[in-house]
Amino acid sequence: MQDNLTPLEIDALTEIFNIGIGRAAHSLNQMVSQTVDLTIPEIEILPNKEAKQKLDFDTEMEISAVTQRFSGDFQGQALLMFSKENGLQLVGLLLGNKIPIEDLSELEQDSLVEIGNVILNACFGTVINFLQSSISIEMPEFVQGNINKIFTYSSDNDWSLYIKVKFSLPSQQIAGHISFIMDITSLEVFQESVRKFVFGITNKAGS
Amino acid sequence: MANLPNNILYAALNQLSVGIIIIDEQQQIVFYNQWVSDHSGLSPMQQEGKSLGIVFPQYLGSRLSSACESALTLGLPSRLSNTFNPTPLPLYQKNFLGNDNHLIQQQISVKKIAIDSSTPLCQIVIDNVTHMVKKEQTLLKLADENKSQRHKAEVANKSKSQFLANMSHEIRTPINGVLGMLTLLNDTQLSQTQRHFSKLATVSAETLLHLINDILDFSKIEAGKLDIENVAFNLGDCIDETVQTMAIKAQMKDIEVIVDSTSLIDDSVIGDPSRLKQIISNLLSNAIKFTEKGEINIKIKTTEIDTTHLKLLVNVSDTGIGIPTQKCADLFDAFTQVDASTTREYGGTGLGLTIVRQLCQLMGGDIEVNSQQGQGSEFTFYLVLDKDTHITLPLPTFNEKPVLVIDSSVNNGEMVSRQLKLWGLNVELCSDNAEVKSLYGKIEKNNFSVLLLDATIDSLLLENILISLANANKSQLNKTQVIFLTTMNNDSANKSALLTSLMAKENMHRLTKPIVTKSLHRELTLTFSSENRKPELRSATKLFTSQTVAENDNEHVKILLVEDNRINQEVALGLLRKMGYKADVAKNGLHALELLGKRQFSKPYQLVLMDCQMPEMDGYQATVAIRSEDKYQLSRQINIIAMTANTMKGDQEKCLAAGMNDYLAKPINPSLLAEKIAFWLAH
Repeated sequence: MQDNLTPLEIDALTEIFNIGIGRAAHSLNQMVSQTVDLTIPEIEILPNKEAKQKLDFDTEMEISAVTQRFSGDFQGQALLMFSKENGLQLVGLLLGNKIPIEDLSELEQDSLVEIGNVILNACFGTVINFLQSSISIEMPEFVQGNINKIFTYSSDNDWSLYIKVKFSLPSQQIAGHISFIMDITSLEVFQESVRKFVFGITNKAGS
Repeated sequence: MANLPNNILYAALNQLSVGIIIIDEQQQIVFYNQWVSDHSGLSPMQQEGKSLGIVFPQYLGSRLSSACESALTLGLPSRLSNTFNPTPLPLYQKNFLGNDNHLIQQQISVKKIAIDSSTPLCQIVIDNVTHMVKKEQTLLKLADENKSQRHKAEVANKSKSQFLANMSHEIRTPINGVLGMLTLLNDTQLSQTQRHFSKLATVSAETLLHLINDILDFSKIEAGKLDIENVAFNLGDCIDETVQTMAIKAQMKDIEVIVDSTSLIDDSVIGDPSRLKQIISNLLSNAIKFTEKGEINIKIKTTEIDTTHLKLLVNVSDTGIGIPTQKCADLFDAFTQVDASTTREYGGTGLGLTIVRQLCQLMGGDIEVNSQQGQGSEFTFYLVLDKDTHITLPLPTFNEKPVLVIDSSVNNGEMVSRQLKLWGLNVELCSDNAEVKSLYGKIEKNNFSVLLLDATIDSLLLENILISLANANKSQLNKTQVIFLTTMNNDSANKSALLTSLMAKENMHRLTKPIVTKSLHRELTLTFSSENRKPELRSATKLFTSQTVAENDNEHVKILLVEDNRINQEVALGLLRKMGYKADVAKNGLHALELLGKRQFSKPYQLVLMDCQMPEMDGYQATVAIRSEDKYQLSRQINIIAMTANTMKGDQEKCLAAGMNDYLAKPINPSLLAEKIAFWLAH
């Protein structure tokens, strides 16, 4: 890749994703009895291989993930991942279960899909709204397995827009990880859009 | 495909078993399929062009409507799960339209229809998941029920084991009374008939106690309440002790008991010696019970599993009535003996072998039987034991001295000579009467330094051997030493007299059967080392009376007996009197404290025998009071021995934790009581 995004551009990206994720939090609060706050402390663009290491999941660890494919101006796969325990915990907390669950039932699995869908949609919405991109997005799916099983759709040569998401519930903090996996061409288009957007605002501010 | 006529597409959409609603940018209905009209009551196609929010008022401002909006404006697809959105639209089971108890549980997907059209459209697909919701609710309910059942079962199990503990106490207390009283009765002047009756009563009471112990053990194992101990012990000693105790009964029936521990490699182990003893005595008592003549062979072998574990293999075979092969498999099931008539003839609960197998399994092993009717039985069990890090040294070997073994039992003779060879001796074995005659010459020439002689051989033979010996010893300086192998209950009166007279001679020694490794070695060491040793009568069994010779100063009262049960008071007092002690009696803990307090300044008590369960104040509380309250300062250090019928595991710890020095299980074993009293009075 020729040039990475500048720190300023990354800052701008973090800012707009935080606005989007704020909307997702609003939707979640309407769905469940708990108050949920969502924040994005960290965004990075890095090769898939490094993104996988960044996730800090053991290769044998069970991961629960919600995935949505996208195509258009750029294409790839969006993933929201939790360690299995964190996923169970989140669903349990959001459903107000008193007893801890050991495994997701079919319906509970579906509720995790909905949560993931709301959050990923917020990210997609941000991209479409702010970056003026045209992409079409597929229905969400649930995937479970170790990190290599989750990342089957992509190769190590692909790139990831890595976003860390923090779920703050009154009693608990749960971390999730978002990865927008794109091939190198898509990534270049994406970065171009980001630069245009940042240039747009800085110019406006300057003029 | 692209040219599929509209009427076919319509028909297909209407036949789907999911609901489909298509809306336009203004969220007005463009289409809904037959499924939707079936479950909503809307007539087909009548509502076209109307806003979805007007047709279904609850749609307005709902999560479904915002999902549709983002689909229409941004093209974002949404999934609405049933858990967060159970019934977003008023759809009912077919025959229950409008009945809120029969709303359909829904799972909805919202997606923009991706065609290049001037007006974006959005499709809402509705899945009926009512069945799945019901199924999961049922499962949840079952899981809850399961949990509460398990909880109930645990509570029930706990109270069962508590009941057992209580039963154990309640039943043993009266039996203790009966046995104790019978012991005292036997010491009084009795006519022959009375003595006979009292003996029968003793046997019955002992049997009863045995049965109760079996049943308690069995129930404890069944309830998973039996714990296996892990203590360091000497394997050989443990087995030898057990065999020696059991052998008396066998010798009374004239059955030879042979222990072969020549393959016992490792002696120091960690495990549960009392349960091992229980297994062996159970098997031995069966073997003795079902054998009329012949012998019982016990073979012990250890093999190394790894650096820390040992496998102990014990084989007990007899020459008894045997078991039909087809019945061998059922032998270890609870309450089976080979047939009901056997039970009547030989007695027993039929629990013994069940307990044995369960104990073996608890110790990582198992047991099997090999038998044929009339051919004797062979039981083989194995256990896994931990090796003890502390290693016992093997017994020292002897110089290559010539030894002659004469034994009427081939097996015993072979076992003994194998053992002797292991110790480096040159052994000649003879178990045949005819062969012995050929040996007279050798004996006379003083070819042997030691002769191990079975005392049960034919009297004539015995005399001839003794004559040869006498001849040899006349001419030689070094006399051949003789070790007589005798039974515990001494043989016929004749032979007994003969032996007693022989024992007076200096070169005669005696060893009691069954021959166990350690005593054989000890006897040989003594024999080899002391040429001019004074003759000495030794017996393997220590006699109860020898330990309890009354001493003069036992006269004044040193002992306080704390016991609430009147009969048990009598029993204990009687036993103490027999040992020459006088004791005061307290009927409960409070009473005991009162007496201790009074006596602490002049002639204080030196020992307290303390029952544990008593009314008003129990033994634990009393002990704590003695050890901690200032009032009893002078008696604080007094030795306290607990006497209790509570024999569940943990009782001993409880006694010691309360501050007692020692522990005696009821029914009181007189010699153990004597031993403990002597020990604690001396300390």
